Amino acid sequence: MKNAYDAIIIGAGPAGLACSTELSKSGLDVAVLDEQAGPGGQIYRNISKASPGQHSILGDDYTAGLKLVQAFQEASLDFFPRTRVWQAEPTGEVFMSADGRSRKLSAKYLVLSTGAMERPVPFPGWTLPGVMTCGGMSNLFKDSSLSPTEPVVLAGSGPLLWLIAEHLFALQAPVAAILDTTPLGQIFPAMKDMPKALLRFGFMMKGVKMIAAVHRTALKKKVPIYRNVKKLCAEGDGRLQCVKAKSGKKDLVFDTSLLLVSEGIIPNTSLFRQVGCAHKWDSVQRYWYPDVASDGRTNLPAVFIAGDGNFVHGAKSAELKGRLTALTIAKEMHRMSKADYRRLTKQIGDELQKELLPRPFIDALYAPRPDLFSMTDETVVCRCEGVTAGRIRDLVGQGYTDHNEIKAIIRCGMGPCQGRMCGSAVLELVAEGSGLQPKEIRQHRLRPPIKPVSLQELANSNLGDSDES
Amino acid sequence: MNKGKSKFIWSNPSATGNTVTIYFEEEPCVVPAGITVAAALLGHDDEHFCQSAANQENRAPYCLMGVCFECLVEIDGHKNRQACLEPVFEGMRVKRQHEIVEEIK
Repeated sequence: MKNAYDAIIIGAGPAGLACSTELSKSGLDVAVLDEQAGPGGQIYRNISKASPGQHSILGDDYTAGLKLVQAFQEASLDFFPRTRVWQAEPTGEVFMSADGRSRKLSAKYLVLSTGAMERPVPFPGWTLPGVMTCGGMSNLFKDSSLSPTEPVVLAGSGPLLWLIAEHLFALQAPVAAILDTTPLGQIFPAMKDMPKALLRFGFMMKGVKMIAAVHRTALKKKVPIYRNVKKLCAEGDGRLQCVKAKSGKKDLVFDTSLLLVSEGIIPNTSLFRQVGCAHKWDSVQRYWYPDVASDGRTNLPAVFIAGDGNFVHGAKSAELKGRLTALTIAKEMHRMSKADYRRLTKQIGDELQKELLPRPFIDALYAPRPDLFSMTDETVVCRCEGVTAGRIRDLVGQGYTDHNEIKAIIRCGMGPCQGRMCGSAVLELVAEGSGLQPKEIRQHRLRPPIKPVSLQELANSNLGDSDES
Repeated sequence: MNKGKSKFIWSNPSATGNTVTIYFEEEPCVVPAGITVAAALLGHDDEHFCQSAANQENRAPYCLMGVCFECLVEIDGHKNRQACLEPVFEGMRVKRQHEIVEEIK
């Protein structure tokens, strides 16, 4: 079985699709690995199988992915769907599991395009069945056209909240209320980035129009929209039954079976941290992101990063970042002349710069609010191990400021998700209790395997070095 | 095991209209072909998928993109399968995962 390639791309979202298609066109031997059953990532999930009805609800921004996926499907490369990567090495080795067995592949270059995830924000009751993310609801619809039958409460801040509201309205799904947790006045710090954003007037207006349309539909359907919502709390016996919150001085209570939350998108950096990529801290969006040059290079010569995993800029930018990374690798492998490289990187780089113009404004407008992680002591922070905020605050009070130490003492971040769900909150709790800036705090380390692997899979493994192709 | 009423419907069945039968807790469920196990189960009842290994609380999918590990089920005898990543197949047998805490600690 073939196990050596020129490049292995991990993640078949917009960046991975664009990068791998481009590399394969330049004649390189490419493997693409993804956890899902088909290409598209989260944004273009299930796109090649979605029905016309799904396309019409999800709109042009979804359908735009078809071209990318078609080009990928026509490209000559090896695609490994339903494949979990549990370890990658700076030398270009990748350990993965699929179909109940583990394998090792290796390549001269790795491109990590593992994308982004919703910022996990603990609040009382967020572990109850019936509480899920807005992106999760969107994935259910993309996968299988599932739509809620009982009134839904939406809560959060950012474009995704409004987009999901728009989709639910289009599906005629019942909505109980929309709780906007964006603090009033967040527009003021964002204003300085407004002129640059307005250079992409069409893009900005599309967002404004979408949100305005949701407001109009909400008014027509008598769905209340509450602003400046705080103290969100989910309650129920074994599953969600009730959502409580505060809007100003008003107490809000909704009997509901489904709460969809969204507090922004952050890069999914787990594989980058495991392989040893250097990271930087973004003080506006308050997340760690890998230190990546515009050509996709990281601090590790064989490891490139492309897409929203690098910094959350959206699907179109992810695609362009994937292309730029492909060009760099093609040039290094002498598949492209310097002149072509310069011309194409200039062209795609310019397109990317244009695409990025509105981002600082959007990032500032929907920056995580200062009290986003001020959960009560009883709130579960680590879902896997059931560790509460109070226990973490206790340890921080005793002087522990390293998530790795906290994990060793109270198992916070030791469960199957490996700290993906609690990482943001633990960092903020440490910052709150110690007075340290997040960038001064050591990052949570990830050690392989970063996804659970069964002993059976290892027993069935083929981890040898021989390439029998 | 209590079976509740699903809080979701298939609003817009898949392009092909094909279905498969899976067995959830031994009960046959006819679901659209090609969807994930998580979607299939959510479309059938509103119960939990698994219990937290740490404190036995009921859990169900949170992220639906492979990150949170709250949708763990047993599929054809294999534990710890992420329901949000596994597509349904004809005859698949799915069970809720109730891991006993002593086993793993």
